[in-house]
Formats: sequence, C-alpha cells, structure tokens
Amino acid sequence: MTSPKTGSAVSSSGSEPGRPPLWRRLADPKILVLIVGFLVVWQLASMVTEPYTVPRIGDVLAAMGTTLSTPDELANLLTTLARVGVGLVVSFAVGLGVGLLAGTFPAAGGYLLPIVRFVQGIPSLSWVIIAVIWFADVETRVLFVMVLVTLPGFALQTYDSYRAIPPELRDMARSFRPTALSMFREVTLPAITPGLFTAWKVNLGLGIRMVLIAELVGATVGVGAQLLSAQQLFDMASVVSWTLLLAFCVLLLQALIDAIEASALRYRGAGRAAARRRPAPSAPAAAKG
Amino acid sequence: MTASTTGPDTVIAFDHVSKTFPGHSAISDLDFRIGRGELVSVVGVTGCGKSTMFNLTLGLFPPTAGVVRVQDHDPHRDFEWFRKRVAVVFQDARLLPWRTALQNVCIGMKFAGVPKPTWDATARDWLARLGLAGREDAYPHQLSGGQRQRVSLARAFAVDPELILCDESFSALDEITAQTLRAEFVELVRAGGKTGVVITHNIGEALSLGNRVLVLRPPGHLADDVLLPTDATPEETAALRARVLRAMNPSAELDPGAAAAPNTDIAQAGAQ
Repeated sequence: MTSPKTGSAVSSSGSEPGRPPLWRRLADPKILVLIVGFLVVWQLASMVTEPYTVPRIGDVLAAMGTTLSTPDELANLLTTLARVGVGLVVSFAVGLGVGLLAGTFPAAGGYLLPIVRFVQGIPSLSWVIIAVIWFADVETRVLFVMVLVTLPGFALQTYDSYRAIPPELRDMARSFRPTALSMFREVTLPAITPGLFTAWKVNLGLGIRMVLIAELVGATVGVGAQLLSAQQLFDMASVVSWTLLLAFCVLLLQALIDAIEASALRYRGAGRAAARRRPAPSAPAAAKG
Repeated sequence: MTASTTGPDTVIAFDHVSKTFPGHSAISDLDFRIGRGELVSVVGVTGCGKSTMFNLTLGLFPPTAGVVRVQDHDPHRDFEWFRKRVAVVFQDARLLPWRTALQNVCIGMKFAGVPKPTWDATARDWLARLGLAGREDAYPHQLSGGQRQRVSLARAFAVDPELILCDESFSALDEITAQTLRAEFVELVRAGGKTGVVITHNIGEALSLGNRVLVLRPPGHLADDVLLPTDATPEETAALRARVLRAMNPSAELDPGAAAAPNTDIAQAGAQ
C-alpha cells in the first residue's frame, strides 16, 4: 500500500490494471511456443495411449463443437456459469456488508470477524457434505457452498481495504461536513475498489472449483454433472472438452474483470505513464511550484 | 500590544477552554477571541496544543471544560451547520488520488453542498487563479508538491467559506514555493473578506502572514497575543520576533541573531 501523500494507489492489491489486455498477452511468442509445445506433446501422447487415458485432439475438438452447437449441452455450461455468477454476487453483497460493518463499527467487527475467520478455516469439502445433508434442492446446495466458501475472501478483503483508507483523507472529507452517502461514494468506495477487484479475481477461480464439486453431488445439469457422467463412461474426450470449455470461460471472465478494473483504476495507469515520462532526477522540474 | 476582540464580529471564541486526553492535558484554560476579517497565526512549541485547538475549532471533538464558539455556534454539536462555512487547508494536500485536479476541487464543493451546476466553472476559475490552468485533468501524482497544495487551496476557496483554517499548510514546501503560496493565500483571504487562522511552526511565517499572532505554550494556554503593525520597520519586526520567541520559551536566553533571523522556527526556539 502506498500513501495518498505521494498521490498513488490507496489500497493494496494484486491487480495490475496497467498490464496489456488478454489478447495481447496470448500473442506473446513465449505463450504461443508453450501452446504449440503442449499440443505436440498431447498429440504424441494420444498416439501411444488408449483414448480413455489421453484422448485425441480431434475427438476433444469434436466434443467441444457438439457442446457449443447443441442447446441441451450448452445449457450445462451456462447453468454452471450462472450458478457461479449468482453465488459470487450474493457472496460479494454479503461480504461487502460484513467487511464495511466490521470496519466502520469496531464493536461489530469484534463479533463478526472471528466468525468469518472460523468459517474460512472450515474445509470446502465439509461445506459440500453439510449442504448435501441440509438441503434437498440442488440450487440451494450450490448457493450455500458458494457463499460459505467465497464470503470470507470478500469480507476480509473489504475489511482490510477499509482499514487501509488513510485517516488523513477521511479527515479532509469530514472537514467539509459531507453526508454519509457522499463520504461513502467519494472516499470509501473508491478507496476499497482495488481490494474488491483482487477479491473477485481470487474468488472467481475458487467459485468455479466449488461449483463443480457441489454439482458432482446430486446435480443433473451442469458441468460437474456432465463430468461425473463422462467419468462413469470412461469418456476422456468429454472430460477434457468440458474442462477446457470451463477454463476458457474463466479466462474470458478474468479478462472481463481485468477490463473493468483497468477502466475503474485508470488513474493508476496514468500514474505509471507519468512515471515513465518523468525526466531524470538531474533535469529541472518543469512544473510550477 | 494585546488584542481583545469581542462582540458580534467575533468569529472564534475560546472561553476558558480545557481539553484533557487520557494521561495528559492538551489544553488548559485557553481563552481568546478572533474577529471577522482577521488573519491570525498561531505558533507554539511542539505539544503546546496547536493541533488540539485546531480540532476543537473544527468541532472534531468537544472541550473537556469551557466553551468553544465558532460563528456563534458550537462547532462540535452543530457540526453540520458549518457545511460550506468552514474550509481547511492541511499540511499535505490530501487530494483523492483517483480524482483529477479539477475533480478534487469539485469534490470539496460536493461535500459542502454547493449546487452542482456551478462546480465546473468555479473549479476551473480557482485553478486558473492559482496558476493551474491547463492542469485540470492531471491526477495528483502527475503534479508537483506545490501544485498539489495549490489544488488543495483551490478546493478550500471554491467552497467560498467564511472561515479558512490552515494547519501548517506551507511547511512541507520548499521556501520559494511556500513564500509564493503564502502571498497568494493572504491576498485571497483579504480580497474575499474572509477570516483566516494559520497554524505554523515558523515564526517568520507567523509574523509575515497575518495581522496578529497567538502564541501558545504547554500545556495549551495563551502565552501572548501579539498585534502586528501593517508597516513594521525591521527593528520593530525584530522586537516582535524576540517577543514571540520569549513567549514561546520564557526561560530561554535569546540569541540576538536568532531573534533577527527571518525564518526562526519552533525547533530553534525550543532549543534555546
């Protein structure tokens, strides 16, 4: 975290809004070499093994094509993504509220944070088993697991980001006597935004994994259910197809979050660009004052 | 020369005010008045209660004893009443890093409840007055320290407050920039008919800024209240400087050289 006194970012974050977009990163020669090398190794391995061990690339591509062109198949992918989306949105809303409450009212934080940390320490698989016992409805199970597993990340990141807001900025704002809503919109929310993006990126991967595990238990629709079905049929091409489709979707979602983050935190990019343009220390300062 | 301003034109009144924090007394029986249109500097050694006095004036906390009145209101109890009536320039610019210079000026007006249609024109006008025309879209990290402080001055003046408080606002700048900004600040306060209170640790700054100097001494009481003549001779200025230094630290043996130095600060006074 850096100080606003230096005019740079407020909240710590692993985000890199200034980095190139996904398509440009994929066009990196090193990435291309890795992809081609992987495909070559895959093709060679598939030629010397059984299809249920390493499927042929063509079979996997055919399975992916079938999925994308068949509405019933595509519904599995979209259902899983919808479950992830709903789960993350609900978890984010609750986590944001818990984090802000704990940050704003230390007395409330004294009760909430130990609970959040306790929940965070419970293994994800335990939540899946608890959900299966508690809820007959698959959607409720998935939502329950998603929220319980990803909520601590959102809540703690919000709390930490809130606490990292420099008190000097709050005092400055308070000196103008703002309304509580203005204070939240102009100081609190922008200051915690970098941390929220970090939480989203971490929880997206976590959410996908949790939904798949939850879908393995009792779901009839969804990528997890299809993976279970493919496993029972020793259909490795479908397993790889579903896995790759989901991985591509995650990459696209991450790229979407990156794009939103780059737009929301463009002031950071401006700072980096300014730093690159800044003259050497020995050069006279052009700026007045 | 001791000032005593009372009556309807009193903007700030500290009436035998004390403020105690757990373990120590920050202000003890502080009693003074500041009148409308005055530009008053407050000096004192570290720990003399300047910041506590500043925060009491802002209403950030109530006094332990005594009465604080600002524009005939209790600044702590009537906190919201002071919206748009008081503005502060801090030691560091305290700009929002995610806002441009123009937006940072507008944010003060937004917080203070100034009608939105006037924000843009007012902000541009104040930035231009303070030499930042053309830098409206720069983010704080693209500005120099002096430019950031100009934005912070613009943010305070754009609200058009009746009272402007400065908390060592020029102390973090190089001397040339600080001198320029001080002169601009005095001109803006005088031209706008505003009341200004400047907390500083620089005796030279205190003597050059306003028409009056309040000297505080630990544990937060008024050691002297010095009215400054408009056209002081160098001899008079040196005598006033010596008086302020003596008030800050009465047990010190004054070095004539230090008393005459234009920028004697708290560290020097305390060391004597």
